Amino acid sequence: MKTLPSRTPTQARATSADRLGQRPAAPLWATLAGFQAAPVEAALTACALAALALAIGVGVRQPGALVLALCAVAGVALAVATLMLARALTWPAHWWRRIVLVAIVGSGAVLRFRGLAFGLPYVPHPDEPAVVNVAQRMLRTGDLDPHHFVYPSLYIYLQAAVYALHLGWGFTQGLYTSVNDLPQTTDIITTAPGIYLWGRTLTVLLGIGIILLTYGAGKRLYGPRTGLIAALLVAFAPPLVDDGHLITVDVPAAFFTALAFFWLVELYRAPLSPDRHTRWWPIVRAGIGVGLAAATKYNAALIVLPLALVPLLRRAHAPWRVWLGGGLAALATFFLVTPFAIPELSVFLNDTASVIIHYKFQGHGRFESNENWLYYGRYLWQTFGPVWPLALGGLLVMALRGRRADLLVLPFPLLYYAALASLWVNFTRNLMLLYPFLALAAAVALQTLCRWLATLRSLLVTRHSSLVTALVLPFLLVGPAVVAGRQDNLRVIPDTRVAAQRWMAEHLPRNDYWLVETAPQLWPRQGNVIATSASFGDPAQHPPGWYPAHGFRYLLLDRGKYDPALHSPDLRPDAAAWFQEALARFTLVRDLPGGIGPALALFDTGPGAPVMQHPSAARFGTDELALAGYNLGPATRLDDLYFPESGGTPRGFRPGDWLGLTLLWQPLRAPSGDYQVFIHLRDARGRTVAQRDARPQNNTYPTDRWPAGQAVLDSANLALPATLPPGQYTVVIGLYPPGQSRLAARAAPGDAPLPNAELPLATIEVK
Amino acid sequence: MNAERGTQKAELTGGEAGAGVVGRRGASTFGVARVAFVSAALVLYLLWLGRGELGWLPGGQWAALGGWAVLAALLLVIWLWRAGYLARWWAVVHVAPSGALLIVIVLIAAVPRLVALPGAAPPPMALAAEQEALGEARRMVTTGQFRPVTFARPSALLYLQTASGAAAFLLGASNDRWHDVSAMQPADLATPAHLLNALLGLLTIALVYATSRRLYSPRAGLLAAALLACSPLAWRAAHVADESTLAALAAMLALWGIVDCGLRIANWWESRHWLFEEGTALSRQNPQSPPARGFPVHIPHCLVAAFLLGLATGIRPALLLLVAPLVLALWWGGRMRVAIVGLLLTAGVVGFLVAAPYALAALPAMLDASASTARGYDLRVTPGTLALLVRHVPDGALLFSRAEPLLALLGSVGALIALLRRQRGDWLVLAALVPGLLLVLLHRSLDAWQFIPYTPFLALLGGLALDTGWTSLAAHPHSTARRKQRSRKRPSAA
Repeated sequence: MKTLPSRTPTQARATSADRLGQRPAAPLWATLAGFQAAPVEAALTACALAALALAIGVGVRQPGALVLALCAVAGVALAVATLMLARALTWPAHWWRRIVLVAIVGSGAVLRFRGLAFGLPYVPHPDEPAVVNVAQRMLRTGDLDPHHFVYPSLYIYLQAAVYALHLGWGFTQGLYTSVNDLPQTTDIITTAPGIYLWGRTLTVLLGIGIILLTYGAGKRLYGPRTGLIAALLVAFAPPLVDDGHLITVDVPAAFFTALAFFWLVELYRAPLSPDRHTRWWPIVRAGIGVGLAAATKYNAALIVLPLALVPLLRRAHAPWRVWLGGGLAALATFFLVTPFAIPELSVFLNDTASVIIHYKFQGHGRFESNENWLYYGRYLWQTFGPVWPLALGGLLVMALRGRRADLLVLPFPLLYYAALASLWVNFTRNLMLLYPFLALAAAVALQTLCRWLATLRSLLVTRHSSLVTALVLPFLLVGPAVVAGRQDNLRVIPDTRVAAQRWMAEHLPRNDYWLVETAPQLWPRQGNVIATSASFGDPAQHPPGWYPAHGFRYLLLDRGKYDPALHSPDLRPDAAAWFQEALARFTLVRDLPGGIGPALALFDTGPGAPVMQHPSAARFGTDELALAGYNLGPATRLDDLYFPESGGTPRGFRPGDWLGLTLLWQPLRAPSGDYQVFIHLRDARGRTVAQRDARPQNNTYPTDRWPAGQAVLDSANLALPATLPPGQYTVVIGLYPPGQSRLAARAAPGDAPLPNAELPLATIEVK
Repeated sequence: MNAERGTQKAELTGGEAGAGVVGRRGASTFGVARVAFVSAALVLYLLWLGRGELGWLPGGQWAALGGWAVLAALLLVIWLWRAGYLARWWAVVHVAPSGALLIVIVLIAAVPRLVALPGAAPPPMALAAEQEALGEARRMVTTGQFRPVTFARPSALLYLQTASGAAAFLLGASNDRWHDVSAMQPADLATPAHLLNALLGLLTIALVYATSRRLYSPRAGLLAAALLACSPLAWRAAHVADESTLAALAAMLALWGIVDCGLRIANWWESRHWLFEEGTALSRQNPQSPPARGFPVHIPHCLVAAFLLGLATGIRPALLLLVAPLVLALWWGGRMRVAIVGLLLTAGVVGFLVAAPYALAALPAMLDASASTARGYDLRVTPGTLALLVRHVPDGALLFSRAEPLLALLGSVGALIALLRRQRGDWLVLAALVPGLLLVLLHRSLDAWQFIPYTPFLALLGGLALDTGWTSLAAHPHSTARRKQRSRKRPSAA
């Protein structure tokens, strides 16, 4: 007969002390070292806390992957140390757990909030506008129908609610005057970056919610320690951190999937009624969770599988109550938060079918493969590091030991991974939903592993599995933390276009014109800036010498367009020659290497004044505004600037053409009012046959914002009516404050006011 | 309370369930299975590597890979079984034996319903109805306009067919088939609509089991489910996209609600006298049931029953006759307050409007359709009507017996037993069945198809007949079951 090994007296004492509820024995290493447990562990906790604070503080100011890794390790150390302190002291354990949880959530929040405004006002991620534009349109028009269902509607509505709050705040702060201030589209750049900031904040909050929900589910299924480890792994999961900065549906879908799973766990744990029936409210709540998840992203609907399993795992009577109640609640919730899917059924079906076809048949450039199970595995290894194989081990442990709680966790990750791997397109962001489950599995595996390691007393100096966990966790976390930190560091670097804009606005005078190869929205309320993309066209259309002659002092050029031409002149010989001449002729003021945004070069063309086709000495008001000159010629669109190659009379126009009129204004003193510029086209009998009334620069640069002395170039193009009969027409201009009489116009200083307070500019011929 | 919580906690963790099952037996077989698995995997992998040299193997490389996968899966399952994991999982995922048998019955019933479903053509008499319904469903799918053009077909059926068509569209979306919903034709909706009917039929079987189990016993439930699973009429109905199967399901659903409500009323009102459980009046001492005081707990169940009755009426107006068992059940509860009657009526109207949401908005069209249907019946209060009924009784019985001989025979025996033993649960079934059958017999032209909504009721009674027979045989002194029971009680020699 086999005899049990007898326990040592120390073990016996410790066990009886545990039984009596007394303080447990100190860790072996502390006893061996001759220290009392509590002071050592308290000091360790304090050190870890200080390290965490220091790392976060330094990391925010001086980004560096190493610092952030240290931050992660310090956070882990803090968590472990507080746990140990909780064991050493007789304080209630749940207080320590709360402190550790707060530390974990705080670390996750720092990672997610850091660099939240990245890229703005540019929108580097192409998927953000897909949500933002629709939500903004809802606010502008009041039409709550998204009219497209490539994504379900829940997150769009949530974003719209946040934007409404932001608008309310913006009204009080003077940021917006009406809801129409919201831009029509934000595909490349936005004029309302605050909207993005608030919208991204919502994503961040949901990302933090994932940490808490993972903890909650882990705690309820496997105990608080597993919950804390899983929460820690989720807090540092690089893809969750990375996409947690974006207004896309992936992190919200992960949040609502985690919420659905949490409610499923609650349903699983809910006490049965005396006749062993599952109660209705937990069923309906779990169904609502499933519906919310599916209404955020269609593929999250697979979370319905654990819902189907719950009644079988609970041995409840009448499992149909869960299937029917949960299913109906899920369906009702989905259609409640995607309400226009029913009246717009054909659009809903066509859009959903387009997603299916895209993923299964069409493919997506380089994001497609036949071996996506391997592709996703590699990606998870690259981002999650050793946590990924540990999670696989955890899933295996769960499958083999076959506990009921494990069977609740297992189906979703397995089915979801298989479903993703079976598709043709491999967008890694679709893996987002898996991370809470992988973290749970990894935590289970780590716990199992550490318990086993703690039994090897010959190898380790301790039998405390918590200490073993503390030793192993940093090795697990350092990889994901470094990846997440590196991505965070990239995000805090401003976009080169934004950096250039800030530098130019701070260092350059505004008396000259700046030609910039960036979006015009980046330069609001700066009238001396002419964006090539909006009204000018390719800079190479004019020889470099043309620019100083027409008053363009600074050129901000996108090197990404010219460098390839320089390296391979055969590609674009004209552009290469032009840029080489610009390099030789102009002074390179600043060179911004590419990174976040394109590489840019800022050139100074030298001092000079703009030369207009028709100089003028006209005055408006009581010597308030001067018209320094104007160009008149053909234009191609409303905001096109017309600069002639040389002086001379413009060619004849045809009905339906654009009359290009570029005005050079010179405010002699700061204008006292917000004036509108009118341009009238008069026929031989003095009748107005076409007209335009607008603020300068297409209503974007009101005169009451003009500083004295700053020259303002204004595109005031006029559309000629298609039915305009041939003949001679006179172009006249003038200014007026809205609702009041016109400003007096004089042809030259000291002249008598012109009749009707309007200045005849030129006569054109319409053929 | 603490003890209960502790029990539930242990149940939740489930950590110790089946612990130790994986033991030496698993270890002993593990080595053999592993060697076999690795060898087979190696051989097949080598075959897989021999690219282009597998001409002797039908299917070439892919066949080798498939064979490897099948072998691997087989070995894995064998290993899991031998090592005890399958038993452990089965222990964790609890399914009652009768539930497992029901699953088997439903799976068997699925075979005739699903076989040849894609190519199934409806009988000529049902062709027009099917085409009308599918055309409407297609219009709804493509336009999103849910107001029915006709009320000749139940709106609920059209909505369900629209949903099945939408699901079929999404499942079939591809570059070379369709990517726009307008490309769908009514014929494309036929197979999903047939599949829908087949699934509704299977659901009816499960519901028959649940109702019969509640009324009689699990065994009676299984027998009733098996009877309905074998019903040739139900097989044929699965291949026609009309409302027969849906009406059968709705009728069964309403009866289930009424039975639930009726038995709860009986338990509540007479809890101090006797408990009604599984069709049998139990003793006066009912320890589980509280005294009948305070809020009548059965009222919500009555509302559900009224809702389901309204739903069934919205699908087929003739099912309004199911109000008879509901009134009977309510009568057991004694005098009811007017407010509760009003609530029941409201629930019924809500159920009706759920099934036919545009009934009020398009009332004239709805009434026209109802009048057109009613003209098919002889509903006059004249001697001629009685004569028609008398003439149709043997005709209908003959017709139904030809179409459903087993169900007709066993259903009749079951009805006889129900009449003889006079239990309250049986009255509910009879009150549901008899008025409906009488209405069918008043139809000017009899057709076996008209009996479909009432086949579940007959299956219930057939299950009762078989169960009674089984019980009688088991109680016989020479029966095998009784002998086994006696031998189990006898103490062993050891």
